Amino acid sequence: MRPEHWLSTIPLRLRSLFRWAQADQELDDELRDQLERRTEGYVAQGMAPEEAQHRARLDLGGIEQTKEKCRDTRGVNWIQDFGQDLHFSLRILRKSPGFTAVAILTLGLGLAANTAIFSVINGVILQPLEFPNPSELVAIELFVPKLAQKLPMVPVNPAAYLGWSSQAKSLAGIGLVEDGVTLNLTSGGEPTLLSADAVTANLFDVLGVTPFLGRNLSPDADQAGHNHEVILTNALWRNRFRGDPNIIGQAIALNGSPYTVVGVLPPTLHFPRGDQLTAITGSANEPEVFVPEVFEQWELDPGAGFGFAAIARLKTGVSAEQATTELNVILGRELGSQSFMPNSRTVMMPLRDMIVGSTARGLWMLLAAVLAVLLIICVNLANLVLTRATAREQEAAIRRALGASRGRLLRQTLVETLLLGLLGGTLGLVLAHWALWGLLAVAPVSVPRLHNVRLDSAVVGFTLVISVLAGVLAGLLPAWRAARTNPQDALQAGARSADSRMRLRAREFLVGLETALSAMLLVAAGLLVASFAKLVRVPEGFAVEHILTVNLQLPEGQYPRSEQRTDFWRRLLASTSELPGVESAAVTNLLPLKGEWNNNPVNLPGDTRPVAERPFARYRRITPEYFKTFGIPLLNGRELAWADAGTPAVVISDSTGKTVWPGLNPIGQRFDVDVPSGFPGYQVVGVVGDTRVSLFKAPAPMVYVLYESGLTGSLILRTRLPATAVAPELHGAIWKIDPSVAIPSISSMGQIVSESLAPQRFETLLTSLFATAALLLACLGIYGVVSYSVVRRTREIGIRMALGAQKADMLRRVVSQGMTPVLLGLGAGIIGALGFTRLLSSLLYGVNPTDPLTFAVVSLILAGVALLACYVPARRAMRVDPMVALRYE
Amino acid sequence: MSKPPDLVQRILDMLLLKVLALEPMNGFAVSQRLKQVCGDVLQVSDESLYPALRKLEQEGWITAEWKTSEYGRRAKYDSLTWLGRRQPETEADNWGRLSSAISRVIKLKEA
Repeated sequence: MRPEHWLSTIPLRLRSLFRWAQADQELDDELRDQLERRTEGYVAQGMAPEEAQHRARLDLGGIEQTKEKCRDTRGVNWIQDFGQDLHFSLRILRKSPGFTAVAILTLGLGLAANTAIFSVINGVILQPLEFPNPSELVAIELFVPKLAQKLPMVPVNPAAYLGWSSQAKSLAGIGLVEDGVTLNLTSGGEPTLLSADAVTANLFDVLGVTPFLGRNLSPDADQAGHNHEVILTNALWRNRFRGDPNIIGQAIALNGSPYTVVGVLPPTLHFPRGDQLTAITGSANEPEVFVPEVFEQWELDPGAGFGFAAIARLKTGVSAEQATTELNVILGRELGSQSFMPNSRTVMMPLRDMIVGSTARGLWMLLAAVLAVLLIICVNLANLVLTRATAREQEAAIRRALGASRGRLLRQTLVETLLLGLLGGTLGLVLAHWALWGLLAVAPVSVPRLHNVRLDSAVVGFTLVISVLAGVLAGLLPAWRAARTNPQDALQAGARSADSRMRLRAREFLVGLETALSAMLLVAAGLLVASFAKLVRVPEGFAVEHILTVNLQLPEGQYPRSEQRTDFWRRLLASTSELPGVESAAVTNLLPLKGEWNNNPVNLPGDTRPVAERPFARYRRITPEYFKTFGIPLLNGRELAWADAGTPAVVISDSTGKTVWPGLNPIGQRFDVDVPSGFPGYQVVGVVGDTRVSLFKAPAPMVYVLYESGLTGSLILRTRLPATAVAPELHGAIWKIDPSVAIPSISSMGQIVSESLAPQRFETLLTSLFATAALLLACLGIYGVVSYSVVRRTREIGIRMALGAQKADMLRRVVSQGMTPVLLGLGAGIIGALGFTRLLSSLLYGVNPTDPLTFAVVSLILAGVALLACYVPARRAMRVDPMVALRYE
Repeated sequence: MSKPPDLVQRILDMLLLKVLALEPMNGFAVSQRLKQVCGDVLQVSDESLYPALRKLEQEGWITAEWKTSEYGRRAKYDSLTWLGRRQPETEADNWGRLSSAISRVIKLKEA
């Protein structure tokens, strides 16, 4: 159509839309006029008046149909039709409140669950970071082929950083973060242990952060001697310093030294935690203060100091590939001399991806699960609508006879379910408010960016879209069926035609579909549950019950000499092991499950292999009672004693002995941790049982060295008392030795285990919840279809029984008919599950994604429950009185 | 833009526009005139005539007004608009091309 033509038709369309009553009246008059003239014509030809009228009507081919055709030419008819459909749908829905309530409620629940999960995905994965131009921000790590087996990614070291920041032209800036620094704050109240990050002076400029108060670190703050500046997070400033605006320029005491507060971060800024900035295990605490990083001399060596998260901003228009290529060239120049570094590469990824990390996969899986539940709800709804369609067959037939086109009937059903979808979506949005609250309450703290999760416009948009989709999906099959109504068949009273058999076939298809979906969900949940059960039963290798722990840090300024520190820890152990109810006490530098750091080489005398190819072990410092307190068995030799201080004596774990000295007695063997080694380093005096540093990995080789004079340490108490009973006594004992030591909360080893399982528990719990819902919904669907077919066949069953059919035979017939689509669906679901569970493998521990036991159990449960859903209506059919059945209808 | 309407429909549209180009007429007269002109070769039933007329009206090619007829009866008279006057030419053009194409195909000799 030409544009000017199109324009000229607008007034015509508007007239049709707003003056439709008049247009209709004119149409009426015109056709009546035609009829009259035609009749007159026939009469003039000599026909009887009645016959003439009949002929005239026949010529017009059904007055109502012709009128409808004329109306359709108006082009705006669909708007009116839609209004009519909507009006009619509302009336229909109001007339059957039970159906409407069930439909809206189930859809609402399903949509609420989807909305809640999606808002988490939206906040955590999809929303951009809160920094300016976040797409330019990247995280950088190193891939070192020789270390790849032990560490897939290696954090950046200062040598690489200095090379990049002075030479790279593709970067607008690069900064480093050293996470997991703890600082003892002693000004403004009780001594408190703060989580801190040491950062290069330019980091906040790279990120583009404008401070809420004050300024960023001064450019030379990371030079030794200028480094006593500190930036506070908004939360710390408000809570600890009561939001004092005069804090800028004041000095606060950190680790006993004065630091000048130069800035306070904006309240909306949540700085990523250490474990979100590098691929290796980092600090799980949100940093509260930022101090300048001053590199020590040894860290500047090209072969040392691989412990920094690097954040860079790409120059506008530079791609990550271009930047990576340039950084690789510089890397080769700066670190190429290192024997373990050949072919090392820069690995760059968007900062957001690094922060979100492995959480993404679990969240997407949850969304898939909850979408599957919604799909099952839609299928059930489609089933319900189909059942109602049988009852409304007459209505559809009459409408067809009165001139409604197939498309019109199709649209009517779709509008009905669409309306249900939108009403369900509205309810879903309301319920999602609570669902999200519940979800955030059980979400593990390790999920990054949870503070970002809210019901925003993107979430509402998502809910709207899936509401419409749900409505359309639920209506598609019933609408198609309704459009195929044959007016003649349906208008013949009592005709249980081929049509309703078709309808049953459609419903059986739906049952198969929902069985397949629930089978897949149940398999996913089953695998996660099996995996979680394995995780819970993993032998940790150390006692979990009756163990309390507390992390302590000495203020560096007050303990400059190592003898002072040794004295503190010894007095601490002496006094705490005397506390009532405490059986034994020990100190370590790093608790099990709290990190995998200090993974260092075990260097044997005369070992000429490159460092990367030598055996590695996790080095931990412990006090003598450590093994007794944790219940770790001594397998060979002896434990450590205070008398071992200053001697080479160390204890190793069983697996260290077996990997480093296979077939030999490790007692008396010598090795060293330093490269190059300065023998004599260490000598093995005892072997203890293996323990885990992470519940998800096999026990790693361990080396235990005597803890003597650290600044930080975790106190471990074996006691049958609860933490609340021990706390006051413990505080007293510690502050009696030194009142300036901060005491964070006491946690039991059980809590630590539970926290480290939190993400798995979260995923397993929710997936199981969704799978259970799916199972129940599928059951309802199966039950509905079988009881429908039983009611439909009451008469047939009655006749068969009257003719002498055995009850058992009938029961078998009904049940097997009901179970056929279930078993087909189950088969399809199992095949589908075999296809997709591979994707779950990274979420599973110790369970094969095609675990036959899980698949078998799921099949049995689903088949069993479906059998029950078939059996109940089948039983009812058996009680049919043949006389009543024959009179039925 | 719009897909080419079905061939029969286009023929009917063109016929109607041509008939109405003679003088404003009401639907009944149009059907009589068509019968006169085409005889039994093209039978246009009342069933398809009226929707076709109303479609032309919606396209803006014809416009309708109520007049009193020669026998004193009120009836709806359709007449061409200026857009409609141009349309038969285009349609006739199209038709000429189409029919010559068809006749070329029909007259194709087997090689």
